[in-house]
Amino acid sequence: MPNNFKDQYNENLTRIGDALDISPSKYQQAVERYTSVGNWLKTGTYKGCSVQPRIYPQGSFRLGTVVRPLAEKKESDYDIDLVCELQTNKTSTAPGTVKMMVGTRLRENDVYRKMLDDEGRRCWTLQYSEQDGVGFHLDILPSVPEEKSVIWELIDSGVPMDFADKAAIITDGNADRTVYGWSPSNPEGYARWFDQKKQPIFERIASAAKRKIFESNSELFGKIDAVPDALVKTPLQMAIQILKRHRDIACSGRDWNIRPISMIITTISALLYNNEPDVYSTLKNIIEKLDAHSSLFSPGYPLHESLTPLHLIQRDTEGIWHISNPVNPKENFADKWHENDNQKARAFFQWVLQVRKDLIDILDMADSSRILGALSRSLGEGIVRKAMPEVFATGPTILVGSGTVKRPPTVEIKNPGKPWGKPIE
Amino acid sequence: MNKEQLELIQGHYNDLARRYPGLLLREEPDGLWSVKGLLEFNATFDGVELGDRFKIELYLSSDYPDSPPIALEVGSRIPKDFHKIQGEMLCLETPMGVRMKYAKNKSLLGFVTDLLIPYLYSFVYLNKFGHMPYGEFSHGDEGICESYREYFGINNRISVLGLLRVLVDSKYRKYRGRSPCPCGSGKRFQNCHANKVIQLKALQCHDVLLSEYEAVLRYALTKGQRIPKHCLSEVLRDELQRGREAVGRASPPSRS
Repeated sequence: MPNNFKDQYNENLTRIGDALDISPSKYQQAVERYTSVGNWLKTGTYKGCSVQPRIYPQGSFRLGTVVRPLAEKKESDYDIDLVCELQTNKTSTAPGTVKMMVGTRLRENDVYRKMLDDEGRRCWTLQYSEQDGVGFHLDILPSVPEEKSVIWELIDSGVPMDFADKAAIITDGNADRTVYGWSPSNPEGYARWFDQKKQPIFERIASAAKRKIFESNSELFGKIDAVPDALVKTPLQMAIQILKRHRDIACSGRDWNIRPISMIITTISALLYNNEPDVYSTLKNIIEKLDAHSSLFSPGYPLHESLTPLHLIQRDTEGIWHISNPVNPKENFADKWHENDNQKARAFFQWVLQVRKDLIDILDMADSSRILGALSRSLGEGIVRKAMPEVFATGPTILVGSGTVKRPPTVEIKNPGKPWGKPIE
Repeated sequence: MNKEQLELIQGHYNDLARRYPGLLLREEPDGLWSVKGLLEFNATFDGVELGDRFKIELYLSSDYPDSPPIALEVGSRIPKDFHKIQGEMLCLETPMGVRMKYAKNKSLLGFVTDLLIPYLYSFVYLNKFGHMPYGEFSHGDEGICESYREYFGINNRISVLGLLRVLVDSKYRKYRGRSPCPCGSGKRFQNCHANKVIQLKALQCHDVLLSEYEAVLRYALTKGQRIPKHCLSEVLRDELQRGREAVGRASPPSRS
């Protein structure tokens, strides 16, 4: 396979990744929104707290793996997670109280009161509708810092101090919000762990990337330095965005409960990332290693010896699947995979196979006129069109190398019928 | 739509996209499916090769692949008076003509190769050379009548009507092979037009057949022809009667 072919494909994937990402202006808008909410929360008074709460984003916003919502579907808003960490401790304040205090503070503000959605299990949700039609859901997660003893346990179990010391626990309500517990989460630790995975590549590409963003968005940023780090995307982040989007489309309309969750996609991708400098190599490595783990379905749950030290996906003697949170080993993201005859596990590996077909093996076919069509099917026509508008303006044949235009197959018309029409009334 | 149908649609679409990658499958808001995009084709007829690209949309019906899709050209290249219905839908052939051709290959690729491309080819050919490459039918009822005269190989409208009547009423009475052919040739039906009639019956689209029978009947009437009794369909008579009764129930009797 000629080199420029692969380069072309990488270029296409990168452009698609760009199109999937949140735009710099929308990102700024999101930051403004959650900063205002944060400021309001910070200036509240909370029983048992002598200092202001710590407010910080978590999830895809914090990690830089936001995927533009599928506009055709109902969920066409961006989802932002904001942790509101009250500075008290879990022994002196019940989780239900923590949840209520944050909710009360939000309601004290007339504007936010009107935007509040029904109480979520772990959050309070503010709905923002925006003029451009694409709004936000801001999920505010009331939490408290983790106990010191638990933090030491984490460190003992191998989690670096940097990732363990800011662990937080999030209030977690049951289905009808009558009982509240704590959900050990450590979102800040996870974000730091993730940052570390992408740091070497980030440092290499940051200044060129920021310059490019600054040049196309000069009205947004006063100078290059003002471009936030969060807008610089490494191949790891792009690969995660593409995988999430593929999952969104491949699993749309199917049972929401068995679709691969973003946390697993993100964690596994970051664990496997080897500082590959481009999206295609990153994806290829991730998908091939994941595919190899399907041996775990066989009796005895065998795994190739090269994969075991990765501690990616494991199965214990009882057949329970394990994907551990790297900053909270007791949290198992795959704890329900074994249920219903390994239904979620099978759904996951079927999806992996589909990704392999749609995004990796497709390159071996050396027929680039098919690649655009295939990418549109697996990642969405809208996004591909947006990423490569010049291709759709003149026809799909443009993708092929330089010079040669591929002609469609010639149809030999035999026994044609005659066109007929109805006169316009 | 059930799972098998969806898988079938996906499979048919994959076959289509292999040849015509500019076309994309999408789900419509009402749960039905469509294929939209750029159709870039090359075709030859009688030694003349032409190629072009059109922006098209195909809409699959809920019983796909049994019924053929509907085709639209959305690049505003084909004018309203070139063989369209209501200015929008492309009339690739007469309704029964489409069904007959489609029956040989009930798939998206079959539809595009055997019906859509020949239609688009003739449009391109007309613009280039000033005449249609393989003819065309007149618009409306007249065109339907022409298409049956061609199909049955007879010139007489009443003969066509007689044959269509047998088809349309075959629900009521089976027409015996040894009876004289309704076309009036004097030969036995089984030695005359029985095969042609059976081929149409096999397509199992009675509604379409009935409406085309009506078209030929209407056209014959506008030409002032007297319609013999054996050409009058009982099925149509019953439907008209039901229609009259429905109208009668709906509106109160008028005072005169």
